[in-house]
Amino acid sequence: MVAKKLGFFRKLLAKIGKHYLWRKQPKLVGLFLSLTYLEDVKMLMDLTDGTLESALEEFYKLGKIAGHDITYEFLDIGKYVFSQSIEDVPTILGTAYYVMTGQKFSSCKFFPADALNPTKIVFTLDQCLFCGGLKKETSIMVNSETLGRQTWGAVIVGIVEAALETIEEYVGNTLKVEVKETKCIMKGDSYAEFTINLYPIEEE
Amino acid sequence: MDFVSSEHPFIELSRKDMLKVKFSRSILPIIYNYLVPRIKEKWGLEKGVEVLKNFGKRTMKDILAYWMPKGKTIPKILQTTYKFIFFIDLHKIKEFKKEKPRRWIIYDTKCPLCWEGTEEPEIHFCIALAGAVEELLNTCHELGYKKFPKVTVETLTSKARGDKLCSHEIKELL
Repeated sequence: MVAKKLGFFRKLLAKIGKHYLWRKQPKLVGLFLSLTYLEDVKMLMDLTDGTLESALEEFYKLGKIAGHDITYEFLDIGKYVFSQSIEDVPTILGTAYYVMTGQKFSSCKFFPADALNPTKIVFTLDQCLFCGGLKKETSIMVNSETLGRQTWGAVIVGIVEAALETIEEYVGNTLKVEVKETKCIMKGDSYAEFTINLYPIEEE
Repeated sequence: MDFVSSEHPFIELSRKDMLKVKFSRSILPIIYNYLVPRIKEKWGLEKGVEVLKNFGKRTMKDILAYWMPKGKTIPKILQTTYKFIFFIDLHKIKEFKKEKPRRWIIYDTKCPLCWEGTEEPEIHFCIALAGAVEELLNTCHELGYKKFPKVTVETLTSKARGDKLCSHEIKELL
Protein backbone atom coordinates (compact mmCIF):
# COMPACT_ATOMS: atom_id res chain seq x y z
CA MET A 1 0.00 0.00 0.00
CA VAL A 2 1.51 3.30 -1.10
CA ALA A 3 1.31 6.14 1.42
CA LYS A 4 -0.61 9.31 0.58
CA LYS A 5 2.23 11.30 2.12
CA LEU A 6 5.52 10.27 3.70
CA GLY A 7 5.31 10.45 7.47
CA PHE A 8 8.11 10.54 10.02
CA PHE A 9 8.61 6.76 10.04
CA ARG A 10 8.83 6.37 6.26
CA LYS A 11 11.18 9.33 5.97
CA LEU A 12 13.37 7.75 8.64
CA LEU A 13 13.21 4.45 6.77
CA ALA A 14 14.38 6.24 3.59
CA LYS A 15 17.21 7.89 5.52
CA ILE A 16 18.47 4.64 6.99
CA GLY A 17 17.56 2.36 4.09
CA LYS A 18 19.52 4.36 1.51
CA HIS A 19 22.77 3.64 3.39
CA TYR A 20 21.97 -0.07 3.54
CA LEU A 21 21.09 -0.21 -0.18
CA TRP A 22 24.21 1.73 -1.17
CA ARG A 23 26.33 -0.72 0.80
CA LYS A 24 24.65 -3.64 -0.98
CA GLN A 25 25.02 -2.11 -4.46
CA PRO A 26 27.58 -3.74 -6.79
CA LYS A 27 30.04 -0.96 -7.44
CA LEU A 28 32.72 0.20 -9.82
CA VAL A 29 35.40 2.83 -9.61
CA GLY A 30 34.23 6.28 -10.77
CA LEU A 31 36.99 6.68 -13.36
CA PHE A 32 35.87 3.52 -15.15
CA LEU A 33 32.30 4.82 -15.28
CA SER A 34 33.43 8.19 -16.58
CA LEU A 35 35.71 6.67 -19.25
CA THR A 36 33.12 4.13 -20.32
CA TYR A 37 30.62 6.95 -20.67
CA LEU A 38 33.08 8.84 -22.86
CA GLU A 39 33.64 5.76 -25.04
CA ASP A 40 29.88 5.15 -25.23
CA VAL A 41 29.38 8.71 -26.48
CA LYS A 42 32.08 8.27 -29.14
CA MET A 43 30.45 4.99 -30.17
CA LEU A 44 27.08 6.72 -30.46
CA MET A 45 28.68 9.43 -32.59
CA ASP A 46 29.76 6.64 -34.98
CA LEU A 47 26.27 5.14 -34.85
CA THR A 48 24.48 8.43 -35.57
CA ASP A 49 25.44 11.37 -37.80
CA GLY A 50 28.84 11.88 -36.22
CA THR A 51 27.91 14.90 -34.11
CA LEU A 52 28.13 15.06 -30.33
CA GLU A 53 24.64 16.53 -30.15
CA SER A 54 23.06 13.55 -31.94
CA ALA A 55 25.08 11.08 -29.85
CA LEU A 56 23.85 12.68 -26.62
CA GLU A 57 20.27 12.82 -27.91
CA GLU A 58 20.58 9.07 -28.44
CA PHE A 59 22.12 8.66 -25.00
CA TYR A 60 19.15 10.48 -23.49
CA LYS A 61 16.89 7.87 -25.13
CA LEU A 62 19.08 5.03 -23.82
CA GLY A 63 18.96 6.65 -20.37
CA LYS A 64 15.17 6.57 -20.51
CA ILE A 65 15.16 2.84 -21.25
CA ALA A 66 17.79 2.18 -18.58
CA GLY A 67 15.92 4.37 -16.07
CA HIS A 68 12.74 2.32 -16.47
CA ASP A 69 14.70 -0.95 -16.12
CA ILE A 70 16.60 0.18 -13.02
CA THR A 71 13.49 1.58 -11.34
CA TYR A 72 11.47 -1.60 -11.97
CA GLU A 73 14.22 -3.50 -10.14
CA PHE A 74 13.80 -1.21 -7.13
CA LEU A 75 9.98 -0.96 -7.05
CA ASP A 76 9.55 -3.79 -4.58
CA ILE A 77 11.84 -2.34 -1.98
CA GLY A 78 11.23 1.30 -2.93
CA LYS A 79 7.46 1.15 -2.42
CA TYR A 80 7.94 1.72 1.33
CA VAL A 81 9.31 5.19 0.70
CA PHE A 82 7.10 6.15 -2.26
CA SER A 83 4.06 8.34 -1.79
CA GLN A 84 1.31 9.93 -3.84
CA SER A 85 2.27 13.41 -2.71
CA ILE A 86 4.48 15.20 -5.21
CA GLU A 87 5.92 17.17 -2.30
CA ASP A 88 7.74 13.94 -1.42
CA VAL A 89 9.46 13.71 -4.81
CA PRO A 90 12.64 15.45 -3.52
CA THR A 91 12.92 12.85 -0.71
CA ILE A 92 12.36 9.95 -3.12
CA LEU A 93 14.79 11.39 -5.66
CA GLY A 94 17.45 12.13 -3.07
CA THR A 95 17.16 8.59 -1.71
CA ALA A 96 17.46 7.07 -5.18
CA TYR A 97 20.47 9.27 -6.01
CA TYR A 98 22.21 8.17 -2.81
CA VAL A 99 21.53 4.49 -3.56
CA MET A 100 23.23 4.87 -6.96
CA THR A 101 26.12 7.14 -6.01
CA GLY A 102 26.56 7.13 -2.24
CA GLN A 103 26.29 10.92 -2.42
CA LYS A 104 23.74 13.54 -1.50
CA PHE A 105 22.45 16.38 -3.67
CA SER A 106 24.12 19.69 -2.99
CA SER A 107 20.63 21.15 -2.79
CA CYS A 108 17.12 20.14 -3.78
CA LYS A 109 14.28 22.63 -3.85
CA PHE A 110 10.57 22.16 -4.40
CA PHE A 111 8.45 24.86 -6.06
CA PRO A 112 4.68 24.18 -5.99
CA ALA A 113 2.65 24.83 -9.12
CA ASP A 114 1.08 28.25 -9.54
CA ALA A 115 -1.22 29.78 -12.11
CA LEU A 116 1.60 30.13 -14.64
CA ASN A 117 4.08 27.37 -13.83
CA PRO A 118 3.97 23.62 -13.24
CA THR A 119 5.39 22.00 -10.09
CA LYS A 120 9.13 22.37 -10.27
CA ILE A 121 11.98 20.60 -8.48
CA VAL A 122 15.53 21.88 -8.86
CA PHE A 123 18.49 19.88 -7.64
CA THR A 124 22.19 20.68 -7.82
CA LEU A 125 25.27 18.47 -7.50
CA ASP A 126 28.52 19.34 -5.78
CA GLN A 127 30.46 17.00 -8.05
CA CYS A 128 29.68 15.39 -11.39
CA LEU A 129 30.92 11.84 -11.90
CA PHE A 130 30.34 11.93 -15.64
CA CYS A 131 32.44 14.94 -16.59
CA GLY A 132 35.39 14.43 -14.21
CA GLY A 133 38.59 15.22 -16.09
CA LEU A 134 36.71 15.78 -19.33
CA LYS A 135 38.00 19.31 -19.89
CA LYS A 136 41.48 17.89 -20.49
CA GLU A 137 40.26 15.20 -22.89
CA THR A 138 41.82 15.58 -26.33
CA SER A 139 39.99 12.82 -28.23
CA ILE A 140 36.70 14.72 -28.27
CA MET A 141 35.73 18.38 -28.15
CA VAL A 142 33.00 19.02 -25.59
CA ASN A 143 31.77 22.61 -25.31
CA SER A 144 28.64 24.73 -25.78
CA GLU A 145 29.08 24.67 -29.54
CA THR A 146 29.54 20.90 -29.98
CA LEU A 147 26.90 20.05 -27.34
CA GLY A 148 24.25 22.15 -29.14
CA ARG A 149 20.90 21.69 -27.40
CA GLN A 150 22.23 18.75 -25.38
CA THR A 151 24.24 18.59 -22.17
CA TRP A 152 26.92 16.09 -21.15
CA GLY A 153 24.61 14.55 -18.54
CA ALA A 154 21.98 13.60 -21.15
CA VAL A 155 21.90 10.05 -19.83
CA ILE A 156 21.14 11.27 -16.28
CA VAL A 157 18.29 13.38 -17.66
CA GLY A 158 16.87 10.27 -19.32
CA ILE A 159 17.33 8.09 -16.24
CA VAL A 160 15.75 10.60 -13.82
CA GLU A 161 12.85 11.26 -16.20
CA ALA A 162 12.16 7.54 -16.62
CA ALA A 163 12.57 6.80 -12.91
CA LEU A 164 10.06 9.47 -11.93
CA GLU A 165 7.63 8.41 -14.65
CA THR A 166 7.79 4.82 -13.40
CA ILE A 167 7.39 5.80 -9.74
CA GLU A 168 4.54 8.27 -10.37
CA GLU A 169 2.71 5.69 -12.47
CA TYR A 170 3.27 3.10 -9.72
CA VAL A 171 1.78 5.37 -7.03
CA GLY A 172 -1.18 6.16 -9.27
CA ASN A 173 -0.38 9.74 -10.26
CA THR A 174 -0.92 10.84 -13.83
CA LEU A 175 1.89 13.28 -14.48
CA LYS A 176 4.03 14.24 -17.42
CA VAL A 177 7.64 14.40 -16.25
CA GLU A 178 10.13 16.65 -18.02
CA VAL A 179 13.75 16.85 -16.87
CA LYS A 180 16.40 19.27 -18.15
CA GLU A 181 20.02 19.72 -17.17
CA THR A 182 19.79 23.47 -16.69
CA LYS A 183 23.43 24.01 -15.74
CA CYS A 184 26.31 21.95 -17.09
CA ILE A 185 30.02 22.36 -16.37
CA MET A 186 30.87 21.47 -19.95
CA LYS A 187 28.72 24.38 -21.13
CA GLY A 188 30.63 26.83 -18.98
CA ASP A 189 28.36 26.84 -15.92
CA SER A 190 29.96 26.78 -12.50
CA TYR A 191 27.97 23.81 -11.17
CA ALA A 192 25.57 21.07 -12.31
CA GLU A 193 21.85 21.71 -11.97
CA PHE A 194 18.82 19.70 -13.05
CA THR A 195 15.25 21.00 -13.25
CA ILE A 196 12.23 18.73 -13.15
CA ASN A 197 8.82 19.96 -14.30
CA LEU A 198 5.77 17.92 -13.34
CA TYR A 199 2.70 18.61 -15.50
CA PRO A 200 -0.68 17.17 -14.60
CA ILE A 201 -2.21 15.11 -17.40
CA GLU A 202 -5.87 15.87 -17.93
CA GLU A 203 -7.79 12.59 -18.03
CA GLU A 204 -10.32 12.39 -20.85
CA MET B 1 38.40 24.46 -8.70
CA ASP B 2 35.62 25.26 -6.25
CA PHE B 3 32.49 27.15 -7.19
CA VAL B 4 29.60 28.10 -5.01
CA SER B 5 26.30 26.54 -6.04
CA SER B 6 23.25 26.90 -3.89
CA GLU B 7 24.59 25.13 -0.80
CA HIS B 8 27.89 23.31 -1.17
CA PRO B 9 30.89 24.33 -3.28
CA PHE B 10 31.11 22.47 -6.59
CA ILE B 11 34.27 20.42 -6.92
CA GLU B 12 35.48 19.70 -10.43
CA LEU B 13 36.86 16.19 -10.18
CA SER B 14 40.08 15.31 -11.96
CA ARG B 15 40.69 11.86 -13.43
CA LYS B 16 42.85 11.04 -10.40
CA ASP B 17 40.03 12.11 -8.05
CA MET B 18 37.72 9.78 -9.94
CA LEU B 19 39.86 6.83 -8.85
CA LYS B 20 38.64 7.42 -5.28
CA VAL B 21 34.95 7.72 -6.15
CA LYS B 22 32.61 4.74 -6.28
CA PHE B 23 29.44 4.44 -8.31
CA SER B 24 26.73 1.81 -8.62
CA ARG B 25 27.49 -0.73 -11.34
CA SER B 26 23.79 -1.17 -12.22
CA ILE B 27 23.69 1.32 -15.09
CA LEU B 28 26.74 0.00 -16.94
CA PRO B 29 25.39 -3.36 -18.21
CA ILE B 30 21.98 -1.90 -19.01
CA ILE B 31 23.42 0.82 -21.26
CA TYR B 32 25.84 -1.69 -22.81
CA ASN B 33 22.91 -4.03 -23.37
CA TYR B 34 21.26 -1.44 -25.62
CA LEU B 35 24.46 -0.54 -27.44
CA VAL B 36 25.45 -4.06 -28.50
CA PRO B 37 22.46 -4.71 -30.83
CA ARG B 38 23.03 -1.34 -32.52
CA ILE B 39 26.70 -2.14 -33.03
CA LYS B 40 25.76 -5.51 -34.53
CA GLU B 41 23.24 -3.81 -36.80
CA LYS B 42 25.71 -1.20 -38.05
CA TRP B 43 28.90 -3.26 -38.36
CA GLY B 44 27.76 -6.88 -38.50
CA LEU B 45 28.98 -9.71 -36.28
CA GLU B 46 32.67 -9.93 -37.13
CA LYS B 47 33.38 -6.20 -37.19
CA GLY B 48 31.01 -5.70 -34.23
CA VAL B 49 33.14 -8.02 -32.07
CA GLU B 50 36.23 -6.05 -33.06
CA VAL B 51 34.53 -2.74 -32.23
CA LEU B 52 33.50 -4.02 -28.79
CA LYS B 53 36.95 -5.43 -28.07
CA ASN B 54 38.54 -2.10 -29.04
CA PHE B 55 36.01 -0.36 -26.78
CA GLY B 56 37.40 -2.34 -23.83
CA LYS B 57 41.00 -1.76 -24.92
CA ARG B 58 40.57 2.02 -25.16
CA THR B 59 38.88 2.25 -21.77
CA MET B 60 41.62 0.21 -20.09
CA LYS B 61 44.34 2.21 -21.84
CA ASP B 62 42.87 5.41 -20.39
CA ILE B 63 42.58 3.88 -16.90
CA LEU B 64 46.20 2.71 -16.99
CA ALA B 65 47.34 6.28 -17.63
CA TYR B 66 46.24 7.02 -14.04
CA TRP B 67 46.56 3.68 -12.23
CA MET B 68 48.71 0.57 -12.63
CA PRO B 69 48.14 -2.66 -10.70
CA LYS B 70 50.97 -4.13 -8.69
CA GLY B 71 51.83 -7.83 -8.85
CA LYS B 72 54.39 -10.29 -10.11
CA THR B 73 52.09 -12.81 -11.79
CA ILE B 74 49.27 -12.60 -14.32
CA PRO B 75 46.65 -13.99 -11.85
CA LYS B 76 47.70 -11.47 -9.21
CA ILE B 77 47.53 -8.56 -11.69
CA LEU B 78 44.10 -9.68 -12.89
CA GLN B 79 42.68 -10.16 -9.39
CA THR B 80 44.03 -6.76 -8.29
CA THR B 81 42.57 -5.02 -11.34
CA TYR B 82 39.11 -6.62 -11.06
CA LYS B 83 39.06 -5.82 -7.34
CA PHE B 84 40.10 -2.21 -7.93
CA ILE B 85 37.75 -1.45 -10.82
CA PHE B 86 34.71 -3.65 -10.15
CA PHE B 87 35.15 -4.57 -6.47
CA ILE B 88 34.87 -8.25 -7.32
CA ASP B 89 37.07 -11.33 -7.01
CA LEU B 90 37.51 -13.50 -10.08
CA HIS B 91 36.21 -17.00 -9.44
CA LYS B 92 39.34 -18.76 -10.73
CA ILE B 93 42.31 -18.26 -13.01
CA LYS B 94 43.67 -21.51 -14.43
CA GLU B 95 47.26 -21.50 -15.64
CA PHE B 96 48.64 -23.76 -18.37
CA LYS B 97 52.27 -22.85 -17.86
CA LYS B 98 53.81 -25.96 -19.38
CA GLU B 99 52.05 -25.53 -22.71
CA LYS B 100 53.63 -23.69 -25.60
CA PRO B 101 52.34 -21.08 -26.08
CA ARG B 102 51.42 -20.53 -22.42
CA ARG B 103 47.73 -20.04 -21.65
CA TRP B 104 45.59 -18.77 -18.82
CA ILE B 105 41.81 -18.99 -18.50
CA ILE B 106 39.84 -16.52 -16.41
CA TYR B 107 36.58 -17.86 -14.92
CA ASP B 108 34.24 -15.05 -13.90
CA THR B 109 30.93 -15.73 -12.14
CA LYS B 110 30.18 -12.06 -11.38
CA CYS B 111 30.65 -10.57 -14.85
CA PRO B 112 30.02 -6.80 -14.68
CA LEU B 113 28.69 -6.69 -18.26
CA CYS B 114 26.50 -9.80 -18.53
CA TRP B 115 23.36 -8.36 -16.99
CA GLU B 116 20.74 -10.91 -15.98
CA GLY B 117 18.21 -9.38 -18.38
CA THR B 118 20.52 -9.95 -21.33
CA GLU B 119 20.25 -12.70 -23.89
CA GLU B 120 22.77 -12.49 -26.66
CA PRO B 121 23.22 -15.72 -28.60
CA GLU B 122 25.49 -14.37 -31.34
CA ILE B 123 28.17 -12.33 -29.58
CA HIS B 124 30.00 -12.99 -26.34
CA PHE B 125 28.64 -10.00 -24.50
CA CYS B 126 31.72 -9.46 -22.36
CA ILE B 127 34.17 -9.45 -25.26
CA ALA B 128 34.90 -5.84 -24.24
CA LEU B 129 36.39 -7.21 -21.02
CA ALA B 130 38.63 -9.52 -23.06
CA GLY B 131 39.85 -6.39 -24.88
CA ALA B 132 40.44 -4.64 -21.55
CA VAL B 133 42.42 -7.61 -20.17
CA GLU B 134 44.47 -7.82 -23.39
CA GLU B 135 45.34 -4.12 -23.12
CA LEU B 136 46.20 -4.49 -19.43
CA LEU B 137 48.58 -7.43 -19.89
CA ASN B 138 50.21 -6.06 -23.03
CA THR B 139 50.82 -2.74 -21.27
CA CYS B 140 52.48 -4.68 -18.41
CA HIS B 141 54.62 -6.45 -21.03
CA GLU B 142 55.61 -3.16 -22.67
CA LEU B 143 56.45 -1.64 -19.30
CA GLY B 144 58.84 -4.51 -18.65
CA TYR B 145 56.89 -6.42 -15.98
CA LYS B 146 58.94 -9.62 -15.56
CA LYS B 147 57.48 -12.84 -17.01
CA PHE B 148 54.65 -10.95 -18.72
CA PRO B 149 54.45 -12.06 -22.37
CA LYS B 150 52.61 -10.28 -25.17
CA VAL B 151 49.18 -11.89 -25.29
CA THR B 152 45.91 -12.10 -27.13
CA VAL B 153 42.64 -12.60 -25.23
CA GLU B 154 39.43 -14.20 -26.48
CA THR B 155 36.13 -14.78 -24.72
CA LEU B 156 35.18 -18.47 -24.60
CA THR B 157 31.87 -18.43 -22.72
CA SER B 158 29.49 -15.74 -21.51
CA LYS B 159 26.50 -15.72 -19.20
CA ALA B 160 24.57 -13.52 -21.65
CA ARG B 161 24.93 -16.30 -24.23
CA GLY B 162 23.46 -18.78 -21.77
CA ASP B 163 26.68 -20.23 -20.34
CA LYS B 164 27.03 -20.83 -16.60
CA LEU B 165 29.89 -18.38 -16.27
CA CYS B 166 32.04 -16.08 -18.35
CA SER B 167 35.51 -17.19 -19.33
CA HIS B 168 38.31 -15.54 -21.25
CA GLU B 169 41.36 -17.27 -22.66
CA ILE B 170 44.69 -15.49 -22.51
CA LYS B 171 47.20 -16.88 -25.01
CA GLU B 172 50.87 -15.98 -25.20
CA LEU B 173 51.95 -14.60 -28.57
CA LEU B 174 55.16 -16.36 -29.61
